[in-house]
Amino acid sequence: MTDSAVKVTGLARTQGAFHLGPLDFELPTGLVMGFVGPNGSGKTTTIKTLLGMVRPDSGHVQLFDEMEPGDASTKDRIGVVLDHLFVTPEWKVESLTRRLGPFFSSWDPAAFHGYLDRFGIGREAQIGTLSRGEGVKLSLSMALAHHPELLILDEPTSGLDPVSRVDLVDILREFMVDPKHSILFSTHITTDLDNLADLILVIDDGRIEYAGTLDGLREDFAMVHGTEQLSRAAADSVMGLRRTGGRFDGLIRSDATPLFGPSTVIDDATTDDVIVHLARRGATQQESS
Amino acid sequence: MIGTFARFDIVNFATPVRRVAPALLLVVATAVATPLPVFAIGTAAIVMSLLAANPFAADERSHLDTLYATLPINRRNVVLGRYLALVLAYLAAALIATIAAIIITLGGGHSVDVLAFAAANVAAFLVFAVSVAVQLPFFFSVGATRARPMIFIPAVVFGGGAALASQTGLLSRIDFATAISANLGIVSAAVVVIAVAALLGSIAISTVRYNRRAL
Repeated sequence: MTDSAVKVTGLARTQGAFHLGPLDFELPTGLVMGFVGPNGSGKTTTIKTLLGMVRPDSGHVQLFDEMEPGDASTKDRIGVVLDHLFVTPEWKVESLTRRLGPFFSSWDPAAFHGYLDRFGIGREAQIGTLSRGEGVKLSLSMALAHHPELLILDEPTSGLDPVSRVDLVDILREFMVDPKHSILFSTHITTDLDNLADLILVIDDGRIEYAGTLDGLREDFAMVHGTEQLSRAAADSVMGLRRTGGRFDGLIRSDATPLFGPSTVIDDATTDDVIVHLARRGATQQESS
Repeated sequence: MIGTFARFDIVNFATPVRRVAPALLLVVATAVATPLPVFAIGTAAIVMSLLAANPFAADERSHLDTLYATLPINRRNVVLGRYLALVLAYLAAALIATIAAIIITLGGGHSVDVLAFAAANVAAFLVFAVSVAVQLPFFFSVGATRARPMIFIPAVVFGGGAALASQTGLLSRIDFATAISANLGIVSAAVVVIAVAALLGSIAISTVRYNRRAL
């Protein structure tokens, strides 16, 4: 069994005005990593780099300890679900085994049909007629049909109804029963990660803001609310500072707590708080520059 | 894996049949409606050259480049598989054109000039190969939409070349039919070598360009 499902070292890429990285992170085998951040923060570009769809300007990506992204043998061990279907709408669901199965060393038609039945997707259905939720479930069926070791999911729950989201997360939990399996799960719906993610990677404006456990995230960040006049140092420490009337709120790193006076309320930050305020900080920085 | 991709591509290219039926009907119609049924073979070359953009357009429309990026196949084999699929599709069209032309010729009470048919097939293959060799590196490099003008490049090159040759009197000074018929073996071999060399060179460029492309 490999030690590391994904290892990213010094990954950097520039696309127009957007700079990604340098990123360093690792997903050990057997764990689920939630990859969160606001829209445009670099999640999809990072995932495309892991899949070999784009090349980094610098840095290195290793999958399964020593394999290169984009190699056929690497891709044979990865299942991919993106926020859109990447098959022809005119194809029938049933035809996917005939069309895609020959590419994989271990495509399992019985497993594929099993997932289709479980999700209630008709085998004779034309793919273009499927709803958004059915499309995601079909993508997941395709991703799991060749028994991958690593699942890479890019915003799969975006636009799904709550029932479909729960179904998807249940399938992912079953997948993780095997200790050789790992998941990298990009989302901005952070409640999907509750009770699923072992690790969380928060990215904003192309930079990693946090990498660690979900509990650690809640310990590292805090929310501040108050009415007092903030010192310069305190104000500078607040990310996504918002003033409404005489009140303010924002996100701080927990080690900045001593900068605030006794009348400031300091609460635990949720994952959503972290993402929202990091995004707000990014917008504020862009406006001021 | 190259064969697997070529098979995948041909099935996508040829189904549903209504997508390619008009092109094949045009080829057969050429055999029926023109004074020389052998023209159908040239029509097959031109039609299949124009259709070479279709798989790339389908890739863009259905995000199939993303699919290829997730399938266990490397980009070089995607390139090789697509060239193979297009050549096989052309050969099928040329076969249909040849059979149609032979049937129409025999049906009209004429004898089949084997040399003329062979020469037409060799020349048509050269037209197809050069057309595809010119177009595909652009399609692999930037996709069908951004490289759309390339569809017309082969027609411009061959049409322009023919017009230039005609204006300069080159066509009237050389009896191509006689020259080719007299040396059919050598000419055919040379033409096939040129066509294959063009395709191989094109494959090399396409592989480099597709490897660099961000999907």
